[in-house]
Amino acid sequence: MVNKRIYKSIYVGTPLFLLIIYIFILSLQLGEPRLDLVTLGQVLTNQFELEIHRISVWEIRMPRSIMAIMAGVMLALAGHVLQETFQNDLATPELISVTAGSSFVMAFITVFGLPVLFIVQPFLALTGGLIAGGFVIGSAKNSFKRGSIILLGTAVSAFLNALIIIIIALGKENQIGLLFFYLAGSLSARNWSHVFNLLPWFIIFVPLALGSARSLNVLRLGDEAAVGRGASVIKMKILLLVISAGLTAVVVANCGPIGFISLITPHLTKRLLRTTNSALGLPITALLGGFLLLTGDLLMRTLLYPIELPVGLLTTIIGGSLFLTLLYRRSVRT
Amino acid sequence: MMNRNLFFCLCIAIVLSACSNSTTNNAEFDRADGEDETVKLIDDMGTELVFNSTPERIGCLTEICVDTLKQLGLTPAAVAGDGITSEPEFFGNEATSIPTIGGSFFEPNVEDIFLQELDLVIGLGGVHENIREALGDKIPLYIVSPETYEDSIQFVMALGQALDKEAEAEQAVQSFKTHFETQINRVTEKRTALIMYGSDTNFGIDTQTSVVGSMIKKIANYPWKTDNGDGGHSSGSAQLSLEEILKQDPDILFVETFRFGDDSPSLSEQLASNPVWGELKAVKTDDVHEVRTNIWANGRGIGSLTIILDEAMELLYPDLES
Repeated sequence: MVNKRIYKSIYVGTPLFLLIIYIFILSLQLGEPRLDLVTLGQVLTNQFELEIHRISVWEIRMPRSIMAIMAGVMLALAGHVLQETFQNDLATPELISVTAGSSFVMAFITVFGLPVLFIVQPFLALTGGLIAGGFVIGSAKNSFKRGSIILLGTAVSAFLNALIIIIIALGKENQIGLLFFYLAGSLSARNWSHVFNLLPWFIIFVPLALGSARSLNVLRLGDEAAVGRGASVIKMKILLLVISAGLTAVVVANCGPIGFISLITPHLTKRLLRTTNSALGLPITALLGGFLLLTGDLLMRTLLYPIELPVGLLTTIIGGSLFLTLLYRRSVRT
Repeated sequence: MMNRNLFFCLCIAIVLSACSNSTTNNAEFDRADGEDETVKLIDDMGTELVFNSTPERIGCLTEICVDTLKQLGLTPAAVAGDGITSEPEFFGNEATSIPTIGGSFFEPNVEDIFLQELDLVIGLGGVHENIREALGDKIPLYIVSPETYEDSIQFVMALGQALDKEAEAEQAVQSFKTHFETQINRVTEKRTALIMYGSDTNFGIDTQTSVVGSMIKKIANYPWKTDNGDGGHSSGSAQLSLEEILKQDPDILFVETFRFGDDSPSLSEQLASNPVWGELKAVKTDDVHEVRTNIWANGRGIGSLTIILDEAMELLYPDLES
């Protein structure tokens, strides 16, 4: 049975991996200028003369596509870890207020026009997200029941969102327009510096998330059973929350709150694999997250060219629709 | 989850704002002959406003109102926010004596509006329609929603007629048109320009179908257009591809942003350190200019447009003989 599931995850994971490579190559080709495979090969090997081709591929499309894959992987894993930690299918990074914390900082900078260098803004947003997330995790450490953390996270997020609404109310139309780009969640105009912002967090937290499968499987048994097996449930949950916060905060700081990837990918994984075993599910969730965000961003970049729409709009529309479908099917079954 | 609610609220506000752009600028005036001095005015939303006498106390919720009243030789009875009113070209120091309407740009304080005993309030399309109900029959609300510089001209004429200032309106419009024509004729070889606001990643642009973009198009190569008619500034829901900007490679960038302290790096320095923006001709030649946001982004009236025209000509063609 276990072997069968492993084979199934390989059957699902391999085509997903190949699909990501295919979409990645496509994302390097499509846009203005549009490149055929031969030209793309020449640009990648620095054999093509035109500077605009080199900049388009190396400085615009490639960092943006890599960013999409990294952000997708991180958000998806954050969602999976949270849902399994709290055994709650609706748990998302919003639960730990990281998203609201980063959004609050960016709203403050944008509306009040603080003289903060562009390059510094993601770090300030990251700080805001981590402080909010740290506050929720720190406050909940003594009463780490499923309900209390959800209530606490919701309350802190609601408080921060109220502050954001106050800031929006004080803003003018141009500032609100700019804030819209951020709050919608966008990968537009992101470059290598944003990739390097994400990279250390990716290197640290993605392996930690993938390595947390055993803990998540133990927590799935229920708190009492987990304690019975000698697990320190509270410490385990704090660590898993920190992992989720680390995965989410840097993405939200650099791309804005891209919705529904973290909510929908763990559900899709369970449906594809038909197992709740996180050891098999986590890698597939990661691949699905990367695939969804990369594909979504490619669509939003090319469909209405030269206009670009924030990818967060598409993930929200598709993710929301998929989630409603899943809920409907579940209600029909029960 | 709350964050998504917040996001959706913002979406709705911006979509409504964008929708308002599609309305036609159909301000009309009808002063009945004879004894009856009834004044009729149709705003850009198609709402008919009827006055038994010429409105005298005008409240401005948007900068095009302040701008246009200045052209007509009038002073607003009250203004919202800290826009162009205190700019030297408009009311300068006199601005301190003009009562202000509190609240925010999106939700002006209705009590303040009533307190000023206004005859007419002028608001911006996509933003201020929601206060019409609160004002009721007591104070008429005129919604203006200019899409091009021609709409701004039309608004001067419409308001001039409604406020019994036809001669002033005629003169202001004629003066603007003559000056505009003169500046257009001075240009021998058009340079490519781009008006943007925001940062290197979160930025918006004025397209050809915006008030300022439609004017700049006449004196410069201004290739920025979209199929959906979004003119920028009024909606902000669209962002132009960086690849497109790179392809057109503007000679000069006009940037609407906050000013950094003297010790902080300028915007052009910040953009120069970005590998993509740094490739633009305008950034390489240090032709990135921060302009007054109040005038360039918010003004919208022909007074602001005249200032923009002069500043743009000076920056675009510094060697041009006057």
